[in-house]
Amino acid sequence: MAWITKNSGTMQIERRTEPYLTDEMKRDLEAKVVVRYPTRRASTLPCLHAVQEKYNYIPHQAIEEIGAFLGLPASEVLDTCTFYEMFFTQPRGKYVVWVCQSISCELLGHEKLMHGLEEKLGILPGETTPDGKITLMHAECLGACGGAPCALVSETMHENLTAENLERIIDSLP
Amino acid sequence: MITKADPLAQTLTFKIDGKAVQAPAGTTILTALRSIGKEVPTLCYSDRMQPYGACRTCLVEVEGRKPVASCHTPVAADASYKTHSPLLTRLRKNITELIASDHPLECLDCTANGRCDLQSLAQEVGLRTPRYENARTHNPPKDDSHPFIKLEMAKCIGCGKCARACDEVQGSFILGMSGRGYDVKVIAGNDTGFEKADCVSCGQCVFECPVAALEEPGTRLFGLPDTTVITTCSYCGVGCSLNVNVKDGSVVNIEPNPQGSANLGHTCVKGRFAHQFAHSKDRLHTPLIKKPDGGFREASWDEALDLIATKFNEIKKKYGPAGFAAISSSRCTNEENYLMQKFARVVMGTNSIDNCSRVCHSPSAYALGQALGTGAGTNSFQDVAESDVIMIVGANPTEAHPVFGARIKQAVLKGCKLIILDPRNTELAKLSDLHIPLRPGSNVAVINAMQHVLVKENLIDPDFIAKHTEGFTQLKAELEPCTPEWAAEIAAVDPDLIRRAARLYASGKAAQVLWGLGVTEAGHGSNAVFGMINMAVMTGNIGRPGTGTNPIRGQNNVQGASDVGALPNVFSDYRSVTDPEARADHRRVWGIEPPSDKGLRIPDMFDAAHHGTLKAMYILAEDVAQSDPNTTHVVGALESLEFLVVQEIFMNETAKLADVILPGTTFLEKEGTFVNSDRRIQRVRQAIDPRPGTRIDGDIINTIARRMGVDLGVDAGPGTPIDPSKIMDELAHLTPKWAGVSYERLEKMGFIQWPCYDKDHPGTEIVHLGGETLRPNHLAKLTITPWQEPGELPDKEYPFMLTTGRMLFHYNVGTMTRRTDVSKLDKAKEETLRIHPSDARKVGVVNGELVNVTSRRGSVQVKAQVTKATNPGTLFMTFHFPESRTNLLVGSAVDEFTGCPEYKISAVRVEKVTAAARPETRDPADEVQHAK
Ligand code: SF4
Ligand code: SF4
Ligand code: SF4
Ligand code: FES
Ligand code: FES
Repeated sequence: MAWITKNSGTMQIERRTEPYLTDEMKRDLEAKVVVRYPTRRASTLPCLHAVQEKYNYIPHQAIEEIGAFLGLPASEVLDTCTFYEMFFTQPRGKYVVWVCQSISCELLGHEKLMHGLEEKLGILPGETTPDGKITLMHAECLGACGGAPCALVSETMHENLTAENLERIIDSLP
Repeated sequence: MITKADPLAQTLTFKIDGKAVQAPAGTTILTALRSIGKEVPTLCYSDRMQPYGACRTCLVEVEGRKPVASCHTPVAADASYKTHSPLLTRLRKNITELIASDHPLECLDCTANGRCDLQSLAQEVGLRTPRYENARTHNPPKDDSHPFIKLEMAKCIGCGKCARACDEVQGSFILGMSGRGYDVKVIAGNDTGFEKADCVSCGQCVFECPVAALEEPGTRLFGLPDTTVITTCSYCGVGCSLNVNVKDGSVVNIEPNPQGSANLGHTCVKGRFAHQFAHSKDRLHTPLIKKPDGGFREASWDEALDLIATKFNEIKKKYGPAGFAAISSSRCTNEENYLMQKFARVVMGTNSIDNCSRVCHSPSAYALGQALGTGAGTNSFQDVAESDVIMIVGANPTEAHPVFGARIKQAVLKGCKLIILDPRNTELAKLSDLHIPLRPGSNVAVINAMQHVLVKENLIDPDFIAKHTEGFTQLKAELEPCTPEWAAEIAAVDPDLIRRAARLYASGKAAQVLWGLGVTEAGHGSNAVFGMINMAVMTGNIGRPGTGTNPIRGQNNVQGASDVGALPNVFSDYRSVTDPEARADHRRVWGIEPPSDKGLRIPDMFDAAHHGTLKAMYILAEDVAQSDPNTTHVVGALESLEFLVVQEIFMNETAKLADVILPGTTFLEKEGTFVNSDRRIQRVRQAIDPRPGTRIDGDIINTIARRMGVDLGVDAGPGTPIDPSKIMDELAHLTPKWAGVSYERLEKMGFIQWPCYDKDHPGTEIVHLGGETLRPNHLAKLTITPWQEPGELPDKEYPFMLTTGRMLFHYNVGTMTRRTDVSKLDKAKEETLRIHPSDARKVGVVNGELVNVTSRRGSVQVKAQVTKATNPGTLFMTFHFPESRTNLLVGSAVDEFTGCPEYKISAVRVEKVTAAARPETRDPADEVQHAK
């Protein structure tokens, strides 16, 4: 899952001198986001989004940088970050395929979809293909139960899936 | 959690289990039901935090409605609640079952066996194996990185108490809960483990954890303790009440006492974890007598005591009272301090008795006594919750008085304004509304300028001044030239900052001033204290909740040691030794004419020894050769004595110079009382027997007196132990402000804050109520405080100012803390010189490099720690590490009124140690032997 990190307490954060949250990003966030809220803490999610948008994941170092930027302890930023499935603290693939596993989709064969993908890509949910193209994830109800079973491929929703047409969709990804 | 009852709240009437109950609106159902002795199970609730409502086990039935969680639902008028019913048990059982389905059911193998809230709940509701398939397919990793706080996530029930404790009680914001559902996990900082996340190791998260997810490894093998003894911490002036868990005569662990009045169920790392020293192998375990060759030989108690008695008698006969002086200890109890001064005055016939508050807070006691009529702080710890402005001068409470520091932090987070006067960029300075980073030694100038602004901008309370003070006209004239511009020049700060600080202080409806050793040990300390009192008095900030002038006292019992008269110029209650009435009282009780010589203060004692007039000393648990300024002078003085007796728990620099060393006991081994910073007299209770070979300090003093042929009247005949409660009775009898104090009352009330004038008096939370001071004319005295340069200033040769202080993890010279688990913490391992990056660049050192720090008096070698926690031009070192001998550097300038030394300011230079001159590396931790 997105929030699975390495062993507690022993986790080494890979650091680089150059900040992830650049001055330019900070200026931008300050002008467009921070001003809109009564407290700086309220801008945590937009900051996390900004970092993920730029780097495709949220490195642990960036958690601390966001904390320093908003005046929050790192634990609080990480706490918030890991609460949401859409934030990744480990590098992820170019595309993320979210296969819904909630009731409607489960009844209409989500397992087949998932197994098909697992076999095709050679990875398990939560993992990324070695070429870095695709990350496979379980999702809870995607709010499209009428079209179950369904899956979200990055930002695009696909409904009424079968193992075959899902495979085609994956194959057609650039 | 510190909440104030709203006096205007409406009183509601409702029923609990059929019984009519009344409570103010806003009271939670849980509080109400507990107030009538009822109980419901809780897992996520703690008295010390805001209700959270996560676990739902505290459900109660409400007539006509669905059950609600009692911990966060306020009572409603005319409602009827039920705390137990078949429905509630069924619901609670279901909840417990869900929680237990994600919990290993291995109670027999668990530290918390027998004291686990989940286990008791399962028992209460009759849960066996959960029906749900154990979902623990995930294997959350353990966090073993911290030496004594262990996290085992498999046992976590996700109640969030630990994270809330860290936020709401300790205020360190280290912990969070990451993930969701089964994957919820407690994280420290950026999930880097406790130590790297800057955890201060207070252990509050462990204390609050209802299961064994967070645990202290020490307790694992001991099982349940035999007894729990409630006592008072001996590490600082906060006076935390501790629950000492004892098994088979040894301390298993120490936990905060939830009923503790000073700490409200909180402690810091020292009180909680630094107790292994009591069981240390290094403890002195037999009297030692110096051999002619300078070494020591073991001796029996009889031999040692007889030798001392003979010698003391001889000295007294040969040299008279001037030949003897005693130093009492603020680490010992009030009873022992009282006994020590009685020994000096009655047995040796001299007023030369002093205690180490001389080197810390004597200016506070002096100035408060002069200006307000009593030598102690005016308000109580709990008052920080009532203040809307707090000004802190020269104190770093989050490190030196952590539990009080945490309270201040909470108050500030809730909106109280904070002004800091400190050369260091302390944790609270970072949190403050206004930080004046003044140059060390310039307190008086800045405080004078603040008073100037108060007067000039008419921010004072003329009615209060007219009614309750004297000396205003003269003070006003004296303040005229003390403009912010003038002070800014001296203190090297922006004058506007001073103006804004004065205005902010005056803006408070209830403003209080707190100060620490950065005032009293920083030159002209008494004047700085007078100045702060002036500020409070002029603005009418005295005698009301949340106001006042309060020193934060360093050692656990400095207040008490001085209160009971271990001072040369006064008896207990600060009654002058020349006061005829006090003399008559003492004559009556002691049966002798009290001595009338001018007693020596600690610095005078060393001078007198050098002059050859002082011949013998008796030093109780005070490492003067290490902790006093100007070490060389002190060692020389002690060496020149004819006879020196040192009573200690560990061998130290002072003891090495003694002719006889007597092994004393720790606070865990004796009965007595301490007085904390806010005048709170609390009991110290014996948790373990004195280690073999050692004796209780009070008994030793008494036995020496007995062998010298004097009965101090505190035992039941020769050879019997002293009775501390009897000493307290005598003390109370001789001390008008303690007259109502007795062991019986302390037992009943838990604590008494003096003044307590008679047996029906409840004690005094706020002194000078309504502005009526305790001076004979009930007026506060406004005192002029002319500015003088500190004893030493930086110059070309010694360009930096060095200030000294303590850090969180150690206590004083480290003899105790360094023999405990606390020394295993990375941050507690060695001394460093804190230097600002810009200065480091100038000197050409980088972090971790060895430097020579040289003052006019000596030179020491230490590693540089480059940090922005100090300001450019100012360096910082602690005095916890004897091997780095910080005090070699410190000057001997003293406060003009009290002789308090200027520990906090010495001019020094810093040079990089060249590779050739580098001594062998040593790890101070190697020298520390750990207790088993
Ligand atoms: S020990 Fe204290 S500071 Fe450390 S995480 Fe626990 S509560 Fe926070
Ligand atoms: S570690 Fe303990 S206190 Fe913290 S969430 Fe888990 S069970 Fe609660
Ligand atoms: S050292 Fe001070 S703050 Fe820490 S536990 Fe002891 S009395 Fe409390
Ligand atoms: S259950 Fe799959 S979209 Fe709702
Ligand atoms: S104790 Fe009330 S919800 Fe946990």
